[in-house]
Amino acid sequence: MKTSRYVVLLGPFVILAMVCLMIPLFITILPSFFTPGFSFSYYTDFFTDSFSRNILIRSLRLSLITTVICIVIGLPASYYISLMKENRRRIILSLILFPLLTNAVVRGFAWISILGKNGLINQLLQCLGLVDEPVKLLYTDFAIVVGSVYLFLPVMLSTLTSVMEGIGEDVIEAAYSLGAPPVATFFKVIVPLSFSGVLVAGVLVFAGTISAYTTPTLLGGNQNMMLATLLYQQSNTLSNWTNSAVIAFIMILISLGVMKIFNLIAATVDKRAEGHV
Amino acid sequence: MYKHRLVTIVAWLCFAFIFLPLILIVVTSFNSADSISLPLEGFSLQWFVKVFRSRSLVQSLKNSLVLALVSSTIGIVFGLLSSIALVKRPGKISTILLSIFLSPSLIPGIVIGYVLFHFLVVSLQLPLNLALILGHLLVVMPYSVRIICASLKDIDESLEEAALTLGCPPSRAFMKVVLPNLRPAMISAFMLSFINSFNNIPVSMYLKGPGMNTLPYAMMNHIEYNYDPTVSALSVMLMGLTLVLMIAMDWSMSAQRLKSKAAQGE
Repeated sequence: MKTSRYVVLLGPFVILAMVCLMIPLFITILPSFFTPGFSFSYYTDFFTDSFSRNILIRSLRLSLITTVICIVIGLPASYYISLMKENRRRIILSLILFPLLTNAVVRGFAWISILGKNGLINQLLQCLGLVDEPVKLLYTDFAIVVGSVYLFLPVMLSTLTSVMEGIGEDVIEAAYSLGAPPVATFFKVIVPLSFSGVLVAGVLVFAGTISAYTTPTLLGGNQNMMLATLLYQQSNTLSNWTNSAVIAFIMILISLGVMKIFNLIAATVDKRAEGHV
Repeated sequence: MYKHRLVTIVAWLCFAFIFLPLILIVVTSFNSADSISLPLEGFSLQWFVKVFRSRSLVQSLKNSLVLALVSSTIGIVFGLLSSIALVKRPGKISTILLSIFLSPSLIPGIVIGYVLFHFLVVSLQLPLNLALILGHLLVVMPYSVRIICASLKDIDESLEEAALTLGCPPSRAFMKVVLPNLRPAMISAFMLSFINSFNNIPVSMYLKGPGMNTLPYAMMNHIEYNYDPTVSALSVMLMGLTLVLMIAMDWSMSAQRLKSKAAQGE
């Protein structure tokens, strides 16, 4: 292909990526390193201020909890799906895809009506006479975790199912006929062979949870802020450009860092697998 | 046969967890009670009527539809052009450009929204509707490039070469041979772009303005001030739209599969 044609074909998206992504990122984030001379003091301020540090720690903690819960539920559920008959499996997989394509506001709203003060759980508890006062479930870390698990469980399920479909029934049968009970088959055969899927989906869930805005806003409220809600508050409500730039850069670092760690683990696993062969 | 009873129990609890909240929304949207509550009181369509009475919701729905339509259409055209260049001339530059085109799906949406707002609106003072379209183009860019590139790589190059050897001019060979084979990929790229643009919150949230609100953000505002099944009714309509898009996508893919099978004489 001629260079001129190459340039013309790529032109629109290259210009878009430059004008709307690279230059804005550069111009927005660069000032956070100058006070006015080059320094990291905005960043050290961020980490020493207990308010912002707590939000960073909460974001990391809740994202980790969400990821672990998704893996713990996802492994057995995907195993169950992968053993289904072809037709039923395809139906359940497209049903699982459906919430993934539904708006995050809709999904958050569903959990508001379940966890809220007059929500279904509180209606039920009061009906049964278990509690007199409504239990505070909404606007807590718990609500954020539930909402995030709800948001990303479909990702985990679809990734793990496609990996487990590839394991093949003969492997499972081999374990079984050699006398491994179902529990041992699951933990010694299925789980290790699905490791790559757990890794891929785990990264998606973690990165997704830590950068989500809608779910922590709707379910966490003003008290339980995450990085994304803090960024919006700093930039839109307080117009604090340097703080916003610091948070934005930290969020990018976390997303890219998670990817990097993932690649490193994947590479070592690949090497070990090669060594075994 | 190979599964413990516990696996079955966890799986069904997991399905219940995924589907019950959505079923709850559908059921309460037809309920006459003015809050989300069970047991049900009676059948009513009043919440659906209320959606269309709310001027802010209707206006933002229109905005979101137009925005998603425009950005996905431009997105797949640009995506097609870029994919041709990237696939037909592989190399170091193409690899770097591909990762740049895919990067908006790696960078947190809220960060993209913020830097766009800071650069396009505050520094360049672009009008909001232009900034919104540019922002949404950025949102859909990874989907169109990834899907169309993957499909273009899969197309047998000898088909195009055959057309060229038989004397077909390059542009005509592309239109008549390559483009028809790309159709399913273009359709899925369009659908995914549409859904992602339509559902996007972080980018739209920063670039909204008076009279320029998008539906998801208008819904968030609505929830903040009113707690009634209007949002349920609207959600049911959105789920209907999602379902239609999913079926259309599935249908276009299987139609293509049938065609190619017929062509191979199976």
